[in-house]
Amino acid sequence: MRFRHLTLTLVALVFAIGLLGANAPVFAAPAATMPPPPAALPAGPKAPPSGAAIAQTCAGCHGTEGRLKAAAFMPLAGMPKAQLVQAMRDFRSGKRPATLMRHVAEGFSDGEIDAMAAYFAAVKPE
Amino acid sequence: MKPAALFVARRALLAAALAASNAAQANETTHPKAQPWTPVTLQTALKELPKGNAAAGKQVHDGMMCASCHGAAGNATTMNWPSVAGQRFDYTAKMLLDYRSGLRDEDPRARLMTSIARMMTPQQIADVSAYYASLPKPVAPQAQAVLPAPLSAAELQRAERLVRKGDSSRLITACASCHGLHGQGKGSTPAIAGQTTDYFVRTMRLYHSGARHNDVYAGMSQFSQRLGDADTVLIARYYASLTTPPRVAQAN
Amino acid sequence: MTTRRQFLLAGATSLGLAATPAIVRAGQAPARIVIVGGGVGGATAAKYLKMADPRLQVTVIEKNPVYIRPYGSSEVLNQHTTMQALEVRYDTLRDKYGVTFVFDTAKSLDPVAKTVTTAGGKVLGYDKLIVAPGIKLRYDSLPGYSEQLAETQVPSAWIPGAQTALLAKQLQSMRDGGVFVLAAPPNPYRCPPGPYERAALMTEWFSRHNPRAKVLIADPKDSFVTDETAMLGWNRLYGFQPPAEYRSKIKAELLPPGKPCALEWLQAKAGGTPQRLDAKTMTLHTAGGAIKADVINIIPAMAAGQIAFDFGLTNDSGFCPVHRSTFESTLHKDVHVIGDASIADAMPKSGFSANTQAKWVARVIADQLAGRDSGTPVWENTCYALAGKDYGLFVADVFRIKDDGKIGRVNKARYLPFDATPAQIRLSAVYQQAWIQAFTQDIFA
Repeated sequence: MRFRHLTLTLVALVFAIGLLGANAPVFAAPAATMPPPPAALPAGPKAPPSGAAIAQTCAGCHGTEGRLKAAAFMPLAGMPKAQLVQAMRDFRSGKRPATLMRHVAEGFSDGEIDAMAAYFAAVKPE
Repeated sequence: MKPAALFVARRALLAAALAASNAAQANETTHPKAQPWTPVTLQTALKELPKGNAAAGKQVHDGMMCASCHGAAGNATTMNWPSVAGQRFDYTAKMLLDYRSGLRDEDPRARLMTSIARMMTPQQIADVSAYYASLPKPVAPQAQAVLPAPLSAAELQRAERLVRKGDSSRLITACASCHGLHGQGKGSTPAIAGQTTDYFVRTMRLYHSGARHNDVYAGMSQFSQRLGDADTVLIARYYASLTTPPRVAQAN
Repeated sequence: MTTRRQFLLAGATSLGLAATPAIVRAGQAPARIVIVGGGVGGATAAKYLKMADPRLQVTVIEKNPVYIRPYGSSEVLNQHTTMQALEVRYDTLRDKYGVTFVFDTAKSLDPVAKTVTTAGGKVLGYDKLIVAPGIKLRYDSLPGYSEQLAETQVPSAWIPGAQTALLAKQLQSMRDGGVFVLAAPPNPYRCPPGPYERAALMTEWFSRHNPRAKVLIADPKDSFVTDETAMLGWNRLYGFQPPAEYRSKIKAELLPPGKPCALEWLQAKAGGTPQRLDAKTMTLHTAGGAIKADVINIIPAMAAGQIAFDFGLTNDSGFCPVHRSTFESTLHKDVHVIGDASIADAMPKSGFSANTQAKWVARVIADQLAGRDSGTPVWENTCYALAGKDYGLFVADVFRIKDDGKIGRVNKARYLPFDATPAQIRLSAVYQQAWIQAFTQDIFA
């Protein structure tokens, strides 16, 4: 009972301080991990949203028009198209670790990612 | 996981937690004022770090999402955040230690780095420092629009004189005397060739105001006092241009 | 004036439009957009309309001259921030973007004459109207509760302001070993993870400042958005034991029961449904029995902001039905309703939803006025929340209009993975703070 209490306290402490390795899960999770990424969304009969319309949804974190100075997110304004496309694809496949970018990237097809990236590439950073 | 294995895992967890918890707890809860370095204490601290492994360091870079600010391969994508590609092991490690102790705390960005550095073990600090050191020196972002204007001939001449010879009338030591002829740094003095301009200027201003004070024997504070705004910006643009290809807008 | 008209006509002609919208052709002045509400939805719409076309005349009618942000406001309770830090000013929208502000309450709508009248008697004509009044708290939905009680003794603090400061004071001065009860709201309500984040942050704060204090959530529901990931965090931080049905859903090792957890979640099926408040004896009566408490926080049922009712924009649900592709009211033409007040199917009532809806509507209106097609809409809700000040989690959704004509999610994964690393968890908390700043900038700066 006392041992359990100690474990609880120390593990809680560990969590509070985050001492353990960045990549080692603290708790051994069962083998189940994230489901495999879905295939790129098929192009339906409806036209996809424009790059500009998609890009606007990013601004809540990445800044209006992707311009960001002080917050801890990647600024997107002026980012070369190929770079943003690769990043979104790597998020979507899970190759690049993230918190929620994988979930967001899953919401867009290859063509839509291209359109969004083209939009940001054309934005003057300042 | 089987109960026995879980028990063993928990014991290991406990041991690791116990070993480090005191020091970390002191940092987290009481924040003792971090002691400034002397050359001796700095060398000792760096020697005490475990040997860094660059491949493991890439895992740290990925897992802790350093790319969000510092760029996918340590090349910042705007002039606002510092590039870390090709940075000297000793300097990167020192910075992480300084963030961890709170010795470096000049603004909210630094305090963000403190949260992150406090999540890292000494091995991870060594590994990620080795990773960045293993990368080639910074590469300019391809986005031409973010780059500062190229230096004119007169500006280049003035910048090179300040960097290589200093200015005795203002008691300014040549930057190259510590940062190297090509801005490659030396020991724990950072490489600054190819560094981003906004970050460079901001840093000099923070040394000037004293908000940043993690330099050994306040060396940088003294130099930044005498340089002035115009020359600070000039030198920032000069160092930014020391990438391949040059990190300034191409004149059309 | 003539020059502008010629310019507008020339523009319309050059677009090769057969039928130029009447607004462009007949008007000599630029189109007038009136926005009721200067919160997340209204302010975002104002800024993005001006970005789309600086010539548009954009006027915001807002009661309060200074905005107090609700997102992150619970962090005043655990001393992580201050009331002052919640204040946001409209100066940049006014000075940089040219938005006009009328600090008054919008009282009535004449959808035929296309005018809005304020309490102060000002009459504003519009070509397009956006109504973003947020939510109203239905204090009287809980017998024994009232707005008066909320202001003085049993705060709600779900719309931030004096009630937030009152609740903070009560919690921070609660007697040693006291009981804090939070009555969670029924669906639908603003900010789905919010009440649970508030309870968790107070549990964390109490663990340091009032270790024998207890936190109870009395819930008319059996689940909530982010419940699995939040409860995993509570288990790790506070030793919380999730209800039986969650143990198989949470695919991670849970810490076994230890000392009793300070935080308790009374689901509806466990009798948690709040039924009556007895403010005199500080007792909350629930289906499962009476709970006497030192601090009671009631988050009551909600409906669209009162203005939506006054304007005739609501249906029986108490919220506003809209055409999904434009968020135009199904009840009044040229009136768009966005944010918490709107019925947006799968989209939660959140700041991020309001923000992406506002941007879409700004685009639609600017396009309509210029005779352009806006194409297919897309919206998002990506929201970080806290289980503790260093333990972050999130919900992240991308929304489209689905084949059934309703707004639905297109992504599969929504939440922080169960095998998230300590770095991802800690960084989610860091990003939550960063998001508050970045989000505020996107709306007001």
